[in-house]
Amino acid sequence: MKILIVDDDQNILRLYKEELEEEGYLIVTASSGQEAMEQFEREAPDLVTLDILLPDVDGIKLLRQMKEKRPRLPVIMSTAYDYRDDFAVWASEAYIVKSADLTELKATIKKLAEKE
Amino acid sequence: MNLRVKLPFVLSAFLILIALFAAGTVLIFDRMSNTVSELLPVSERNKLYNEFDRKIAEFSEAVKNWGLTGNPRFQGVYRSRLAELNKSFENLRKTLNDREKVEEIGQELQLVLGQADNIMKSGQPIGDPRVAQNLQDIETETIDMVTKIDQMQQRSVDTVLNVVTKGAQLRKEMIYYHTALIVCSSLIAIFLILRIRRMITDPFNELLKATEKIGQGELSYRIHASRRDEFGTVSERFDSMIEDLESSTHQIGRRLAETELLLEVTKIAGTTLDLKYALEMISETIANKLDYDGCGVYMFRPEQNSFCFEAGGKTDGDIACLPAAEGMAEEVMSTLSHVVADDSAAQGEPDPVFRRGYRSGVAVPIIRDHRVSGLLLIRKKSPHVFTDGEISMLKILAHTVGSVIRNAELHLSTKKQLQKLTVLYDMSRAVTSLLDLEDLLKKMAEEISRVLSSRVCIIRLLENNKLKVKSLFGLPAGEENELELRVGEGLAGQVAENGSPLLVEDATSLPPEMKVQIPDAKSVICVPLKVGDEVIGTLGLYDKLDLDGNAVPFTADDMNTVEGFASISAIAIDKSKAYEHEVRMEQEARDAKKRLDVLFDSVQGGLITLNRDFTIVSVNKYIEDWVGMRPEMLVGHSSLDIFHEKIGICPHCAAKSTFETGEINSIMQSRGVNYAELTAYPIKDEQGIISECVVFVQDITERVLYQEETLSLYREVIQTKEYTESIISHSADAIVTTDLGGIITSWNQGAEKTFGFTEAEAMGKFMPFVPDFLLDRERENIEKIKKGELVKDIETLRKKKDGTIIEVSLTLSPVKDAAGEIIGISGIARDISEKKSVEKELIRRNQELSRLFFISSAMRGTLELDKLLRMVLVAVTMSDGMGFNRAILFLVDEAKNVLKGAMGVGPGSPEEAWKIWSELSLQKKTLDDIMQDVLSGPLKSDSFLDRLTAGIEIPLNEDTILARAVREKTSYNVANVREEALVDTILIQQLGTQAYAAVPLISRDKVIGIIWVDNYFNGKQITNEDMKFLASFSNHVAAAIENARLFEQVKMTEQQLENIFESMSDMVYFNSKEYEIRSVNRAVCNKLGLPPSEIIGRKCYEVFHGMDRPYEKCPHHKTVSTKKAEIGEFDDPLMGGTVLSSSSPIFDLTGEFIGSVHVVRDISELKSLREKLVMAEKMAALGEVAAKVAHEIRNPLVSVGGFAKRLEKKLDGNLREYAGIIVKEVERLEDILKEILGFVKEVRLTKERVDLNALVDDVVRLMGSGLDDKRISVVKDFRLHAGVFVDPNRVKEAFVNILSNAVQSISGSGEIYVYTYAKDRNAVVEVRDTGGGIREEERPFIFNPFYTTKPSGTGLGLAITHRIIQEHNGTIEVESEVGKGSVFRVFIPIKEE
Repeated sequence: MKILIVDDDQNILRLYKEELEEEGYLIVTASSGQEAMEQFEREAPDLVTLDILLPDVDGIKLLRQMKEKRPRLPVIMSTAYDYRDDFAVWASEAYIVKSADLTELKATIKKLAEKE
Repeated sequence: MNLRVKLPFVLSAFLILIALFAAGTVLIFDRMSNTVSELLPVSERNKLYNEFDRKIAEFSEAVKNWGLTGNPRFQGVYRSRLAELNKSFENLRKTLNDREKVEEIGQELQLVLGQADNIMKSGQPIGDPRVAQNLQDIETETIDMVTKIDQMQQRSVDTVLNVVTKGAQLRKEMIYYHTALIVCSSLIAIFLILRIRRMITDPFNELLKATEKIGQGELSYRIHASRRDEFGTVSERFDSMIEDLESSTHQIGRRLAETELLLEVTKIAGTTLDLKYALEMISETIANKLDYDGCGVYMFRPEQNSFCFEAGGKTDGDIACLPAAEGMAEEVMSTLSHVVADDSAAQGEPDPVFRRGYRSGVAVPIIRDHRVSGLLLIRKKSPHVFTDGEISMLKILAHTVGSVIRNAELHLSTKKQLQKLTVLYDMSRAVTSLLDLEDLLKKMAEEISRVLSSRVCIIRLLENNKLKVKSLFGLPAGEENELELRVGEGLAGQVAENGSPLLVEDATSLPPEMKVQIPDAKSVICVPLKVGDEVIGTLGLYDKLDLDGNAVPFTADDMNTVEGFASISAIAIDKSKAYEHEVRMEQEARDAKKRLDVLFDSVQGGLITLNRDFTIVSVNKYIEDWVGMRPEMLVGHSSLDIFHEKIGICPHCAAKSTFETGEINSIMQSRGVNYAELTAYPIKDEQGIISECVVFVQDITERVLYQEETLSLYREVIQTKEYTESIISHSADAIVTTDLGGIITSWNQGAEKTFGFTEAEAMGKFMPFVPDFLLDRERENIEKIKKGELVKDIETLRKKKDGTIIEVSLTLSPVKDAAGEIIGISGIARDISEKKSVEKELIRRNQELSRLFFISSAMRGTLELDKLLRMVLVAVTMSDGMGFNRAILFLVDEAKNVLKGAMGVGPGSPEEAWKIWSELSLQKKTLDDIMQDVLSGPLKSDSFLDRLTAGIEIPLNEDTILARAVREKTSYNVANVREEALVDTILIQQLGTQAYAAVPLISRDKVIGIIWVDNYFNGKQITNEDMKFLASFSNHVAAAIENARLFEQVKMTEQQLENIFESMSDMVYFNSKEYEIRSVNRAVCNKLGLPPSEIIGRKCYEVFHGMDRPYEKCPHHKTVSTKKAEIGEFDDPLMGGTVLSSSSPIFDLTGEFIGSVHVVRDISELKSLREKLVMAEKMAALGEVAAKVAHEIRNPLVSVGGFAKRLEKKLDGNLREYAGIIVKEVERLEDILKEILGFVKEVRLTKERVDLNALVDDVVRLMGSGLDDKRISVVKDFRLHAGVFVDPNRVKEAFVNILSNAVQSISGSGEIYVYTYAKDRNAVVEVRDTGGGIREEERPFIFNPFYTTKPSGTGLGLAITHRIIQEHNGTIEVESEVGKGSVFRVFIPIKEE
C-alpha cells in the first residue's frame, strides 16, 4: 500500500511519514502542488492525503486533477481549516482536520485501504 | 376345324420337316466317312513300302561301304541296318494281306541277306572277287525286290484313285440331294405360314377395325364373319353387343330429347307468366323438338261449346274453333282420352283438322278436374304412326300445358286479390293517417278508380239536403258545381235517398229521372256512403276500362268491392269531419283560455278568489310562485289553512270586510322579512249578492326592506365613521382619502407631518404629494382601485411640501358607499426614506404578519355563515329536530346557472350513522346544545358526506326535480326515484338515494338554494307532514340566511375599517380621558402578550408602565390636559426598549373630549437589530482572520503535538511525563482553536424533520461519563409531540453546550432536569440545574463570545448555542438565581419548513 502525502509543512510530512511507516505503509511525500503531481504520476500511489493550502497550487485543484486521471483513487483531504462546507471537497473520500492526534487519520486510511 | 385342333397339326408338320432335314444330313455324312475309311489302309501300306525301300537301300549301302572300304566301322552299321530291315519287313508282312507277294519278297530278301552275310564274313573284302560278285547279286536282287514292292505299291495307288473317283461322284449326288431338301422344306414352311396367317391375323384385324369404327361412333358397323372358329363366335357376339348398344343409344337419345323437351316446356312455364306467350312458346318447342308440322293448344269454351284456338306454333291457327260435338273433339270429350286420326279415316267431308295438307294427327286432352278443358292438337303432313312412347309423351306435355294454364289463372287471380287488398290497406291507412278531409276524399277517388280501372269517380257528400261534389277523378276540375245534385235527383240522388247501391250496365237505358250527368257513360256503379244508417254521401264510378282502354260493363263483384270500400271511406270521412270540428273548437277554446290566462297571470301581484266560506276558488300564477304550491294544493282548500297558517298572510281578513260592506278593502301585513299589501274586490252574482271576493296581494317587501336597510346602514356608518375618523386623523402614518379623481377628501395629522401640507392646504386639491414623474403611475393605481383591487405595501416616492423626495410604503384601498359602490380611495403612507434596509426588512415582516391576519379574519367572517348553514342542516337531521337521515344544502350559483352542493350533514355509512346516533342519544344533549358544538362534534364539517356534496353540481337549465324546485319555487317529494322521470340521476349515483325531498330556500322572492333531505339509512318514508314542516322551516332558514348575509355585509365594512386599525404594525389603542383602555389593536396584544380582554378596561399607566398613576412623559397624559395631539420618544423598560408614542384627542358629537387615540411604535427592536448587524459584521471579519490564523497555528501545533507523542512513547520517567504534558496542552490548544473557528465560521444548515425528544435524549446520553463523575442525576420529562425541522448536528451541538454548562455549574452532586413540551407553536427544551447560578450582572453577557467566568473556557459555548438557535429562528431565555441554579429554555418553531 503506497500513500502519497502532500503538505507544505516539512515537519508534518516527516511526522506523518514516520507514523504511517510504522503502520506498515509505503510513504512518498510532496511539499508542493507541482511535486505532488510528479509523484502522483511516477509513484502511482494507492491513496493520497492532501492539504488544501499549498504554496503553488490550490489543494482542491490538485484533487480535481487526480480525480480526473484516476476517478477511483481514494483521497483524504487533511487541512488546518475546516472547509467541509465547500462542496468542492465532496469529491474526496474523506475529510480530516489536522490534529496532533493521528488516530483519526490512521483510522480513515485503514478504512479506505480495506475498501480497496 | 377349330384353331385349337389346327395348331398342333401345324406344329407337328414343322417338327417332321426338321427331322427329315436332319436324317438326310446324317446319310450324307455316313457316305462320306465310308469313302474316307477306304483310303486309310492304302496310305498305311504305302508308308510301309516306302520305309522298306529306304531300309533296303540303307542296308545295301552299308554292305557296299564295307565291301568297298573294308572299314570295320561299317560292320556296326551293317548290324543295326540289318535289324531295322528285319523289323520293317516284319511290319510289312504283318500288314500286307497279299501273302504270296510277301513270301516272294521274303525269299529274295533271304538271298540278299545271305549274300550280304557272305560279304561280311570275308575278312578282307577288297579285291575279293566274290565279294564283288556278291555285291552285284545284291544289287540285282534289291532291284528286283524293289520292283516287286513297287508293283504292290502300284496296286494300292489304284485303290486310291478308285476312291477319289467315288468321292467326286458322291459330291455330285450330295448337291442334288441338298437342293431337293431345301426346296422341299421352304415350300412346306411357306405353306404353313400362309395357313397361320389365315387362321389368326385376319380375324384380329377385323376385330381391331370393328372396335375402331365403334369407337368412332359408327354403331352400324358389323363384322359379319362367317367363320366357325372362335373368331367367328367372338365376332358374332361382338356384333350382337353392338346391336344392343345401338338400340339402347337410340332409346337414350329419344328419352333425352323427350326430357329436354319436357324441361324446356317446364322452363317456359316457369319463366313467363304471360299465358299466351307461354303457350305459343311451348307448342312451338313441341313442334320443333318432336318434328311435327303442327302443334296447337285449343281451350274449351263452354259458351260456344267448342275448343277454340289459344296458341300454337308454325302454321297453326288455321282452325279458330273445333266444335265439341264433332269429329275428334267429340271423341276426346267422350273418352277423356287421346284420339289418333288420319285423313283416310274421314268419310266424305274430311275433318277440318286434315285440311291444308295435314295427313295425320293426334288430339290429346288437357284435363282438369276430370273434365276436358282443352286440347293439344298435333298434326303431321305425312302419314305417321304415333307410338305409345310418343303418345305418353304428348300426354305429359298436355298435362304440363294444363298446369301452365292453371298457374297463369292462379297468378292472375292472386294478383287481382292482392291489388284489392292493397287498395283496402291503402284506404285504411288513409283513414287513419289522413285527417284532412279534402286530402282524404281525393285519395279515395284516386284509389278506387285505380283498383276498378274506372274512367271517372265522383264522391258527393250530403250537405243541406244537397249532394255536393267533393272529389272528382277522371274529369277536369271546375265541374263540381255542375255535377251537384239534390237528394232524389239523378242516379246519385236516388241512391242517397234509398240508401242502397245501384249497378247499371247500360246507362243509356235508364229512365230520364235517373239520368247520369257524365254524357257518354255506359256502365255505372253508385253506392251510398253510410255511417250507421245515416247516408252522408255517395260514391259513383263510371265506365270500367279494360286493358286496351275500351269501356266494359262493371260486374257484381266490382260492386261488392266498391261497397266495402265505401263503408271504410264513410267512417274515414266521418272521422275526418269530426276531427276538423274538434280542432276548430279546441283552437277557439285555447285562444280564449290563453287570453284569460295571460290576463290572470300577467297581473303583477297575487290574485286569490275566495267564496263566502273563505274557500279558495282560484289563484293566479303569482300566488303559486309566491307560496310555492301548485294550484291543486290551493284550490278547494280553506284560505285560513293555506295562507293564515303557512304563508302568514290572510286574504280572508281583507275579504271579510268586503263581504260585509261590499266595499273594496285594503290592508298591509308582514311576516318575518316579508311585507304584503292585500286588497279585496267584491264579485256580485245575478242577484247582486256578493258571492265571491277577489283578493289582490302585492309583495311590498323590497320596498319596506330597502327603507329599513338604508336606515340601518346609515346608522352603522355614522357610528363607525366618528370612531375611525379619529383613528385616521391621529395615526402616525399619513392617511389620506381622495375621490376617484384624486382630489383630497380627508387628511390626517400623520399626513401633515409626513408631507408638510396642512389639512387646509391639501383638502380639495389633486394629490399634492405625488411627484410629477410618478403621476402616470398614480393614475394606474387609481384605475386598479376603481376595479376594486387593493394596492398593498408598495414602495414609492412622495414629494414633501418643501420639494424633497421621500420614500414611502403605500397601501391603497377602495372606499365604498353603503351600496358597495367605490367612491374613493384611502391611502396609508409611511415615510421609510430615512430607514435603513434592516428596518425595511422589519416592516416587511410586520406587513406579512398583518396580511396573514387579514386573510384569517376574512376567513372567520365567512365561517359565520357556514356555521349558521350547518346548524340548519343539523337541525334538519337531528332526531330532536326533523329527523331526516341526511341533509344537503345546495346553493344557487347564478353565474354558472347551477345548483352547487354547499354542505352536507349526515353519516357517511350505516356504521357511522349508528355511531353518531347512539353517541348523541347517550349524551342526551338538547338540540340547542348540539347546535352549539356543531363544529366540533361528530357532525362537524369535512365529513364524508360533506366532501361528497362539494362535488355535486346540478345544471338549472335541465329538467330535473331540483332544477324544477328552483325554477318553480316548489317543494318536491320523490317517493321512489325509479318511478320519477325527472329524477336527479347524479344524486342516485353519488348518494345512492332511493327517495328524497327538496325544498327551495326562498328569500325575497328569489330561490337562493335548496335543502335536500333523504332517509337513506332507515328508509323511512318522507310524509306530507314532513314536507310541510320542512317547507315552513325553509322559510325560517331563508330569512336567517338572508339576515346572516346582510350581517356579513355590514360586518365586512366594519372589518375593512378594523383592518386598517388592526393591520397597523404600530400599537394603537384608545384611551378614555379617565386613562382607561377602551380598545386595542393586535400589535398591542402582541407586545403585551395578553389577550384584549385582559387589557381593555384597565388603566393605561398600569398596563404599559406598571405604575399606579399617570406617567408624566406619556403623550396621552399631556393630551388629557392640553386636548391637543402630543408626540414623545422615550425609553420604557417595561415596554422592553425605546418607543415613539403619539396621542391624538377624540371629541364626541357634542364636542366634548372623550379620550385619545394613542399610537406607539416600538423602535427598540429596530435598535437591537442594528446592534445585531454590527455584531454579525464583526464576526464575519473575525472569521476571516481566524481562518488565516488557524492555518498558521494549527500546522505547528500538529508538529509539536505529533512529535511529542512520539517522544512520549520512546522516553521514560520524568522526560516521558514532560512529553505527556506537551501532548495534553497541544490537545487543549487544538480544542480552543476548534471552538473559535467553529464560532466564526458560516455554516450551511442541512435541515430535516427531527424528533427533538430523541435528539435531547441522545445528548444526555453523550454527557454520561461527566454526569457519573460528579454524581449528577438527570430527570427527564418529554411531553413534546411534534417534530421540528432543524439541522440535527447543529442543534445537538447547542444542547451539548447547554448541558455541559449545567454540568460544570454543579460542584459536587446535584440534579439536572430536562423537559420538552410545546408552547405557542414552539417546541421548548428546558434545562434546569441545581448549580451555582449566574449573577444578575453577568446575565446579559453570557451569550457574548469569549465571555467566560470559568478559568479554562473559551467563552464560546453559549455564544455558539445562541447562534445555532438563532439560525433556526428560535430563541433562548435564561432564568437564574445565585446558589439555586439556572434554567435555560430553548424555543424552536414547530412549523418551520
